[in-house]
This record gives sequence, C-alpha cells and structure tokens, in this order.
Amino acid sequence: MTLPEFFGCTFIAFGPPFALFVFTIANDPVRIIILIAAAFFWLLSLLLSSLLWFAIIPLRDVLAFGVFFSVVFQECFRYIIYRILRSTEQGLQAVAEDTRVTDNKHILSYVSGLGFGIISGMFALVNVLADMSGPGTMGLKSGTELFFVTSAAQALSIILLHTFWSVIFFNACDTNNYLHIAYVIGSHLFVSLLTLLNASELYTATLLTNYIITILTGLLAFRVAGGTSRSFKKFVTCQ
Amino acid sequence: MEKRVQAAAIWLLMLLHGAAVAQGERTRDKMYQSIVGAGCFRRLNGTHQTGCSSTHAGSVGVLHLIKVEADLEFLLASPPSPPYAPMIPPHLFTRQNLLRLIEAGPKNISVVLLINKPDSMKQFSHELNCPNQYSSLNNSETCDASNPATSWNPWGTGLLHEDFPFPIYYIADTEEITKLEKCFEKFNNFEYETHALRSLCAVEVKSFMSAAVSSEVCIRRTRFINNLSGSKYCDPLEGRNVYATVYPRNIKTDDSEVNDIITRERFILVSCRLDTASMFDGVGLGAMDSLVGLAILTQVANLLRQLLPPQSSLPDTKRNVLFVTFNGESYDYIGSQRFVYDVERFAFPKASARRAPITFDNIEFMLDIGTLDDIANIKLHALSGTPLAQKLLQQLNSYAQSPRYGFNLNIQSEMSYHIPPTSAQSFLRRDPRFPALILNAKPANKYYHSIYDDVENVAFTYANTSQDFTMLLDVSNTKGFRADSLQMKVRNVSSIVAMALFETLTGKEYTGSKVANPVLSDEFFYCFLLSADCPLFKAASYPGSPKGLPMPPMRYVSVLGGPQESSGWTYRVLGYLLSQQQPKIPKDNCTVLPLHYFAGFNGAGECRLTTQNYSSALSPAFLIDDYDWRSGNYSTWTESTWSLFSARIFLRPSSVHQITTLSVGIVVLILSFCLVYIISSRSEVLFEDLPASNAALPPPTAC
Amino acid sequence: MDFSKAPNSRKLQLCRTYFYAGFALLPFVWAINVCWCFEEAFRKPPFPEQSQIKRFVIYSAVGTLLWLVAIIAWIITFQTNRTSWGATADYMSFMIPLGSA
Repeated sequence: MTLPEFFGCTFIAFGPPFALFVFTIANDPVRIIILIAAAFFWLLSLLLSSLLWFAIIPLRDVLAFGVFFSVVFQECFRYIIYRILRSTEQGLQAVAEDTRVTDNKHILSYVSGLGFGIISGMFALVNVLADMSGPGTMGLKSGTELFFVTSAAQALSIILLHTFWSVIFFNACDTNNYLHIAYVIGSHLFVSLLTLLNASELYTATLLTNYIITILTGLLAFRVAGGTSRSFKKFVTCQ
Repeated sequence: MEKRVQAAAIWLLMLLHGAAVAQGERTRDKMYQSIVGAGCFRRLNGTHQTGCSSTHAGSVGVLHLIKVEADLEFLLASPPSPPYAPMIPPHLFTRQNLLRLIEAGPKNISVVLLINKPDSMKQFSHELNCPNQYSSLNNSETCDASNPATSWNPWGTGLLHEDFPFPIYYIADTEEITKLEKCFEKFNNFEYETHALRSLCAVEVKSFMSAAVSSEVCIRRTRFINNLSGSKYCDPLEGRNVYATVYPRNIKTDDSEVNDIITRERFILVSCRLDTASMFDGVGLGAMDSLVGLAILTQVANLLRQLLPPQSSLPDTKRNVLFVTFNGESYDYIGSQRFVYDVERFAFPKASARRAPITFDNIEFMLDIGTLDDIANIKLHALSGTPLAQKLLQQLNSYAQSPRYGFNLNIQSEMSYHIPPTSAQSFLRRDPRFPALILNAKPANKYYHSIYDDVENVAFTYANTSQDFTMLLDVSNTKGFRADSLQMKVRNVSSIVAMALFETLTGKEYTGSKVANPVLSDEFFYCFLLSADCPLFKAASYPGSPKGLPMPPMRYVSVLGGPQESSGWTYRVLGYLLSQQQPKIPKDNCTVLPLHYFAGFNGAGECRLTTQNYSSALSPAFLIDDYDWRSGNYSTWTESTWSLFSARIFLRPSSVHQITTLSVGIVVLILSFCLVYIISSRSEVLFEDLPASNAALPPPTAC
Repeated sequence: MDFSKAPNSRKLQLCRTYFYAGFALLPFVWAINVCWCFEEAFRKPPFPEQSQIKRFVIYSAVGTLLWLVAIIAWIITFQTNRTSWGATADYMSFMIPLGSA
C-alpha cells in the first residue's frame, strides 16, 4: 500500500468517527473517560476471545468458530459496561460539569458504543494496514485492487454499527425489550460471519448487505433515541 | 414468505461456504512474492565509486522484458508509466545498452534485472580491457586498451568500473525467471498505452549501500571519532595469501630480529592468483581466469614435493621453492603489493610464524603463473631477455617438446614491456630488474571476471574416479582422460613446469617417467567448481572435521570477517600436498604446527610435517598513516557495507487508483465533519421527544 | 507562578534577568522573554515599569531575530556546501548521511 492509499483508507474508516469525537466527545472530560473505558472493555473481550482461540487448538483454523465466540464475548462485555455505567450514575452526576450526560441516558450509551466501535475498527483495520506497508497493492496472486478501500469501508460500518448497537442495547436493557437485545446480538453475529465471505472475494455482496444492516440499525437507534419521522422532517426543513 | 425463506437459505449457504473457505492467510503473502537472486554492490577506490546501490527504501520499477534490442526503445523513448525495470538477457547486457539506460536516468529506469538466458550470448566480460591498468607497469606497451591485439582482455566492457544509478540484480534460477515473465505477461505485456491507468507488475530491489564517493571519504567517515551512530561505511578488501615451501625451513629459536636473515637461503618463488571477481555478490567462479593457474601451481607443488631429493642432497643445500598464492589480485594486486611491502620491511613471514624473514636477495627468481586460457599458446614473459629467462625457456621447451613425454607443446617467449596483468607486476613496479618470469597464454577467455566463467567455460566434466590422487602416474597412464580434457591439459603444463624447476634445482635433467596425476586436477576442479564437499578437501582436513558445503567455495577476496573459504581450502590443500608424512609420530603428539594431522586420501589419518602458512592480503594503503589516496601507489579498493539484498514482485497501483482512493478519503472526511457538526448543533430538534421518553423510563432494573 | 499576578517590580526584574541571561549565547531565553512579557509590555494598561519592560522585550526580540537570521544563514551555507567542503564538513557533522556524498 502506498502513502496516498494509506491516507485515503484511513480517512474513509476513521474520518466519520473522528468528526463524531471532535464535535460530541472532546469537549467533555467525562465522555472521554467513558469512551476510553468502553474501548478498554472491548479489549478485554478481545483478550478473552484470543485466549479461547489459543486454547482450543483443533479449531484454530476454523475462523467461524472464533468469530462466533468473539461476538458472544463482545456482547457480554457490552452488558457489563451497561451495568457499570448504570450503577455509577449517581457518582457521575456528582462529578459531571455538563449535566446532559446524566440527563440523557442515550448519551452514555452513544459514547460507550463509539468507544467500542473505534477500538474494534482500529483492530480490524490497523492489522491490515500494518501488514501492507510497502509499495504494492493487492492483486498479484489473488484479490482485487479494491481490497483496501473495501476493508476501510467495512471498518467504518463496524464502528457505526457498534455505536448504534450500544444505543439500542442499553435502552433495551432499561426497558426489558428482549426483542431489541436479540436483534443486536443477531445482527452482530450475522455481520461478523458475513465478513468471512470476503475470503471468496464477494466484496460487493458483503459490503452492500453490511451497509443495509447499518442503515436499518441506525434507523432503529434513531427511533430508540427519540427521533421520529416528524422530528426528522423538522430537522431537514430547518424549523 | 416463501421468498424470504429462500433468501435466508441462500444466505445461510453462503455463510457456510464462507466459513469453510475462510482460512487465516497473511495479506502480505498475497501481495508480495520474493525473488531469489544476487545483487551488484558498490566498491570504491581512492577516487571513485563503482557498482550499484538502490535507494534507501528500495528501488521500484515496472517489469519489462527485453527480448531484442528494439524493446529497449520503448523504455528509452518516453515510457508511459515510469520508472521501469528492464529484464535483460546477457547478450543484450552490453556497455552500449547499459550506458543508454544510465543516461535515461533513475526517473525512467530504476532497476535492471539480468536474467540467466545465455542462449544467444557470445561473450560476457565486464572487466577493463587492461585489468589493473593503473597498478601495473606504467608503460604504453604493457597494455593498450584501444588495441585489441595487445590488450589483455579484448572482450572487456569495463562495466565493472562504472557507477550505476540503479541496482542491478542477477536472477540465475529458471523458476524465478518464469515467475517474473509470467507476471510481466499477465499484467504488463499488452496495451502499452494504458500502462499509466492500470496496476502493473513491478519489482522492488533493496540493496542500499552505505558508502559513497571514494575510499578516502568512506574510510575517513568510518574512522571518524564523531561517528556517534557507530555506523561503518566501508571495509577494505582484505584476504589472506597462502604460501608454503617444498622443504621445511628452520624454526627460529631466539627472538632476535632482522640480523638472523639467512643470506644463504635461496628461494624460487612460484606464484599464482587465488581470487577472482564478478559483478554480483557470491556468484563467479573464475574457472578459466584464475582457477586453472591455481590448479597448475597445486600440481607443480605436488610433483616437486615427490620428485625432489632431500634438501641435503641438492647441489646447493640452501635452495628451496616458495609457493605463494596471492589473494585480492583482481583488485589492483592487493596480495602481491602487500607481499612486496612486507618483504621490503623484513616482515615476511610474520613474526608469529617463527621463521627467518625473507628478503629480495633471498629470491633467486620468480615464476608467476598467469592466465592459461589456451595451453597451445603459452608464452614466457619477461621484461628483458636475461640469461636466466633464456635458460628457463630452453628447459621448459626441452620437456614440452620431448618425444619421451609427448606433450607436444611449444612455449614461446616475449621479452618486452608487454607484460600480462599478473602478480609479477607488483614486483616489477618496485624494481624493473627483478627476475620475474611469467607464464601466460594469449587471452582467449570471453568471460573473464564474470559470472559465466564457470564449469562450462573450461569444459570440465567430473570423472569421479575415486582413485588416489596424490601419487604420481606414469606418463602413459592417462586414467581414461581424453587428451583434450582440462585435466590432461593441466597435467601436461604442470609436468613441464615441475620438470624445468627440478632441473634448475638439482642441476640434472629429469629423466623419470612419472608425471602429474590427472586425477588430482579432476578432484581439484570438482572441489573448486562444483562442491566443497569433495574427496580432496576431505583428505586435506582434520579427520572427522565438518564437511564442506555442497557448493563451490567463494573465490572473491571479500573483506575482514568475510567467508575466506577459498584461502582456507587452499591452505589445507597446499599444506597436505607439500608436507612430509611422519609415520612414527602418533596422533596425540601431532598437534603443534608444523606437525599437523590430516585425514588423508583414505580417511585413516596421518601425521605430516607441514610448511604452509597465511600472510595478510590487506593493501598497505590502509596501514600507512596519511596515505595519499590519489597517489596510485597501492590498491585502495574498499567494499561498501549494506544491510540486505532482497527483491520481490508485486502489483504497483496506478497513480489514478491512488489519487482516487485519497480523494474519496478526503471527501468522506469533509462530509462527515459537516454532517456531524450540523446534527450535533441541532440535536434538540432531531431527538425532540427526549425528555419525555427519559421521564417515562423506570429506574434501572435488571435487564 | 502566574506571571500576570506577580507585582510589577517583580515582572520587571524577571524580564531584565531573562534579557541579560540571553547574552550567554542563549537565544531561546530571549525568545521566551518576548513571548512571556509581550502581554505586559504592550497589551496591559500603562504602569510605571512598563516602559522598561517594553524596552527589554524589544531588545530581546531583536536579539532573537538576529540569532534566527544567523542560524538560518549558516544552515543554508552548510547544507549547500557540505559536499564541496569535504573532510572539513565531515569533522563538523555528527550525523553523516549514508550512501551519498
């Protein structure tokens, strides 16, 4: 991957999360702390999944197995961070300068979801980026030139999806909406397993499905966070 | 509903398929394929740098196969997607073509690959027309580069002494060449006009050289006290000369120095060259340009050792023969210059050898064995027709033409300044009256100092007789070797030389029927051209010592800490062949030099009294304080340091693709900044019924 | 220490000390002095010591500028002439580039 390609892919994958960070996270220390805490919990889930992968030697080559348990661990840690955030709410209220964090529960879920997403996207992409330093691009033996852009777009969709999932998941836990919880886990599993198809270079199919799911999940999160079609209309028409 | 189930089923199938296919494979391995080859590196002398270097990160060029000369025009006349890396077969690797590639500049030509397709090759020598011209006798008659008739390497292009702005990589292996050609055919070899728009198969060569400008600069920088990073820029070319005598010399007992030069000792110095040169690292055997001479010297040593009577029964009991193989001679006579320098300073042999120093007065005459490309055309060269030269010539010819041996050779003579580029030049430069005689044939080697001076160039086939190669044979016993085989040629020449020396030493004509053994040449060439894991090297080693590698020993002089394989093996072989067996000494007492324990031909082990030793072959230029690098007195060659040689092929993305990716990234970045700013500044509008939903929430309960 | 809250006499003393310290071939001290005291010298409402502070700040700025010009001139001269100076330039360098003159 050459330098222009590297920057192009980095901007695609991390441009939107960076914008989100700058405008919604950076000016509130509490949010930064929560973001990093969430990232840390995601790392713990990665550690557990890799331990499991490492321990079960015969299944090391079966990626689907690893993917399945990785998703399970991630969702478990999402629940753990939910419990922790909810139980520290009183304390947060005391220290937070900006009361919106505690007033609007969705902000907490959004921030921790973004933390989850950014670190997960980083791990998905940085491994790829680091492995490809050098002057070449994909396609000598197999693969297409679009591999890097596809990887970047995939990483972006995962980052956004994690944000949406956390918003839905936290709210579903608050309201005991088991259907929503099932949707989060199910779509996470589906999207993750979908990426396995990249091995047979079905980039268009996976990316398209991925983004359809991202948009659907985004809409659901929008609804959950209090958005309606009426409010959207108001927003668009600048009222 | 049915449709949905169907769609779900399809997805499930695809997922299963994906799970089955998905195996962990590093993306890097999909993108790059390494290419095995040998690199050209940078050497420097007192005033210039020669050879090649890549850029620091590695030079990248688009592969382009050159089949005929016209293919080069495409690269030289405004190529569509530079820089390119032409793959050139040896017959097109000419001075003219290379100079044109240099002229095109690193912007257009960034790498040159030399591919091993020698079918149409007629000649391949990149040494100068006058090898070692500036360290030879300063006389226009000695060598005239412009006149092929009197130059010593008429086929030489001199490319070894050019400085290339791109790396040159030699690919010997056919499989690797196929890889390159396939990649070229698949991605590059069609629609040349759209090269700029698509990804092309490219090669990256890494061979970055640390040194630059000249030996003076790089040695200064290496020795420089402010050199904080401790980086080494270059090393002087350095090796070891190997020498041995026919008769053991007395061991010095006391530590007195110069005064115990035994003035009565008389040496006949028989010498040849040990090393060779080529453009590429680790490739180049120098079969014809120097190995034939070494083979003859070894045979002469073996013959004399066995033919000569004990030293005490010679007419002059202080006479001896000193065999020296000079190392680094390809680079301005490093070994012989150092030898002369040492002898002048009473420093040869070195003090640790505990032998009396040898002076020029001790040397009766020197017989230097040069290149013997064609044994039918051997000449005895000397600066002037001294009685000594005439006498030796007459002796040589009496054996060469003697019907008793049937060698049927005629050795001509040339007594003039037209002296071949051999070690004797260093002696004659010091003193033109030095009695140096040189055996050298008319140059006929079209592959002088190149990677193609190999087994095929000398037409060597290994007979693998498994017979004792140390004993002498009757002249009629050819062991089945054809008369025109390399083994027999070496046998004949070395027998003639040995007989003439025998006559010189004993004062009597040689009348025996024993001559050199062609099996020894057979084994010798097998060891040095095909595999160091061979009977001769095994016999000359300590019993049970590690076997040689199954490849020929490297014969480039190299630097301090280099492999020094060739001098090591020569040391053992000369030691073995020039030593006397000591049957009475048991193995346990045979540990201190000059006693040495050899495996011997049958591997049983034998104790022998040896005479061989090393002397340093480091140019005096690096010993003298404040040496004037431009003076040309001594060899100033150094070799740049480098960290690695590597080459790999991959797809180089087109600039269109790169710019598209970058612009998409920038657009995404800007768009997301605008969008997020608008949303976050008007989030109250978007999530209007927030407080309501929040208020409706029950206090957090278990999920 | 919060410089803006220090008494005026202390400010003047600090500014003067920094200005004199800069003569020990320390142009960065002058540069810091300019940045630090600029507010006091030019932005704050007048106070008795301000004219002196102003003077020191201007002198420090001039000194910094001279140094800057001198250093840039030297760097340009050295970098453009390094190879032609040969050994002399090598003896002046600590890091010598690999693979080039």
